[in-house]
Amino acid sequence: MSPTRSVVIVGGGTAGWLTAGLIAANHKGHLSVTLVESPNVKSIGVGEGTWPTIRNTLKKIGISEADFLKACDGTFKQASKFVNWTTGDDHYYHPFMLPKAYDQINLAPYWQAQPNGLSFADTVSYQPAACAQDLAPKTMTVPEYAAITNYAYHLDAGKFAPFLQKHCVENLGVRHVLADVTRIENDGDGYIARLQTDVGEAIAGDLFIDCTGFLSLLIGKHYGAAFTSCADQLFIDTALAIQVPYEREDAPIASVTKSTAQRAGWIWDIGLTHRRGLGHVFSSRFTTDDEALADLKAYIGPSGAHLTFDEVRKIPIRSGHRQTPWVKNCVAVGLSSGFVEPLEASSIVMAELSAQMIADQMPVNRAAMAVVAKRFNTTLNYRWARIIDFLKLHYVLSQREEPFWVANRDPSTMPESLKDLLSLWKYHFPWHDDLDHRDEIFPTASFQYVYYGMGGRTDPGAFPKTPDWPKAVGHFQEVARARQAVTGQLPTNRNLLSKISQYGLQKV
Amino acid sequence: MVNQVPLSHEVHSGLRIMTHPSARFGSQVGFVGVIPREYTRLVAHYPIFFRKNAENGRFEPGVLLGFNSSENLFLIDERWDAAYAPLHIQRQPFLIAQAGEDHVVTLDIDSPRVQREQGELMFHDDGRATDYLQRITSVLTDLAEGTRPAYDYAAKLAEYDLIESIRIDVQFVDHSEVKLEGLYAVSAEKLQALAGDKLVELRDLGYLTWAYYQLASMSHVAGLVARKNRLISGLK
Repeated sequence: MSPTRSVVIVGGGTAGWLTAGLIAANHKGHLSVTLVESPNVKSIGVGEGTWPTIRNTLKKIGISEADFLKACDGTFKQASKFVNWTTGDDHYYHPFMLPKAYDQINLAPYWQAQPNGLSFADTVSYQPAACAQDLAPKTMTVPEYAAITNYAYHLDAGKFAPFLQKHCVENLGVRHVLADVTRIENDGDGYIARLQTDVGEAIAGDLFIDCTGFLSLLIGKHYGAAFTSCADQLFIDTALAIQVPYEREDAPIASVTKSTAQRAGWIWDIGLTHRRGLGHVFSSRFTTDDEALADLKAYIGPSGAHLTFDEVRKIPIRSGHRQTPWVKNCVAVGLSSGFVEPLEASSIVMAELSAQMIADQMPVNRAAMAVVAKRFNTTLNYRWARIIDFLKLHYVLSQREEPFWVANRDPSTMPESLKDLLSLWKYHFPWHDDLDHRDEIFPTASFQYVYYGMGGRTDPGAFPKTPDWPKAVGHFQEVARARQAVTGQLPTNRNLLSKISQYGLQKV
Repeated sequence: MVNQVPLSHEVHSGLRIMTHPSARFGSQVGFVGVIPREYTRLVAHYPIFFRKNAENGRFEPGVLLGFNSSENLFLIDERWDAAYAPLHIQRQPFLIAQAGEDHVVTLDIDSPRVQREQGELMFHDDGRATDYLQRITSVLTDLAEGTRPAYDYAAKLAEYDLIESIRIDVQFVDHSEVKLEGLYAVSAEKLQALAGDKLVELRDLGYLTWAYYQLASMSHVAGLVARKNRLISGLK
């Protein structure tokens, strides 16, 4: 059995370098890692939102948090904030912190039974209050990657990949080859044997990882792995992206990804240290490019009044994923594996989890590889299905009346699994048992935040599900106390970032 | 409130300073900053930790005096119960401030230590500093000169991953419990494992000696617990 000795990654965007870093850090000295990158392909580079998993990922790769924040204009993200999604005049938070005591007690029934004027998220977590004040998730005395409130980052994707590249090449021994792949050669068993390149060097390997983005050079073009579209469920198919400056140098940096609903889509708003990244994602079935640009201009306000198509990047979105992201000795990570719309920032976290899974389960030979591949494909399909369920949830709960939103509520556009969950949650409060895996990409807590954030209600009938009021009230009071204590202690996002840039963060 | 003013013979010649420690003079502090120059004397009495500066996250050395921020187990009946008190205790109610190239001694004029009838005089009638003030000036100079080496030393230890977070969980004789967080110490294990250029560098800088003083000082945590237990039991 041929042992796995060398891993070849094709593509040098965020997914490629994250994968290179995780594998090289995990298998230093045992595996050679080569990354082949076309000097002629520009990475997509608008992925600017992450999940808290990214902290552990960067730590594993051996990166200093302060270095990362400085190099990538990174900022802290504590939640997604949804504006105007339910009625057109509303907002709610989906914070990263689980509801209080989530491993012990389901507080949703208690919150619903005792209207206290607070939203679900505010009742079970103090994090929305921290977000409302643009606060940082920690103080200068908290070590790197550790948190007071759970957090992820916003980052400049154009700077993130080069930053990872430098670290991978200088510290982890990853070989970086700048070349275009001209031909992919199989062995007698249909496994990829080597890549021919335009610089004359043939690159052989035992495992090939396709990080070529939408091009999908290996898994799509070479192996023809079937693509499952989810365009019937998630209608977004176009993005208009733009970067805008802050109005003042010391303007507050939001600690949320703000998503504001529009007539046929929504606008993302992400604050980095020196600029904001905005994008209008929409369905071309329900609006035109001109209208979409007009809505983006209206969102930006007076400073965007003269915006033209020359200043925005138009990016087509083809929502869906490969049915078999792992074929023979080739596995796809990142956009080549799949992409759904950018809502809830699932893209980078999917790349991280895929790369981590490959690094953890690195098959030692081809016999093991066949089994690992099968398992990987099953897991990925499950994850995509959960992501689609979760993103679609944001649309089906809306009460907006524009055709795009009405069409989203058509049951024929909903996955069966989501319909089941919605039927269940009419009568049962969402809880741990509702999803199959413990390591869900979006835990049931996320479903709770969105479901109740958008006005979802549960009618348990004769089963009130509130057996321990004193305990629940105690938790609510603790959240209220922590809201005072913690928000009083936390500096603003901008303040902490500027201090970190000046002093760095301690490792312990 | 603290009201530091530059010390001057003309303005402050008649004033006296109460020098003994006392709760009414604000001596009830559970932790006080120190400088490495004091380590040889501190190591006989106190556990020397690091704490993080809230403003910039940097490690700063200091000694633990009690189990909460206002408990000083070395303060007994307006007496300091150890042969050596840290310089930051000795300097009260004076400070030293940077003024261009020079240092200027300042006095907290609102401190209850500042008196007219009792205490040590700062100036002779002819304006010369008294022995007391000369001693204070030397303490302040030591502190001014020792702060930067303390930072540099701690930063080097942090750079080489030689500092670890410490949690102190204690149960006292009356079964009350306390958990102390936010304290850091030199890691014995990592210091022991240090080799080659880094080890030589620490030795040449004098940091190795300081690090071992800090390690040795950890045994005084048990002494602090004993002090607290004696207090709880009504003994002194």
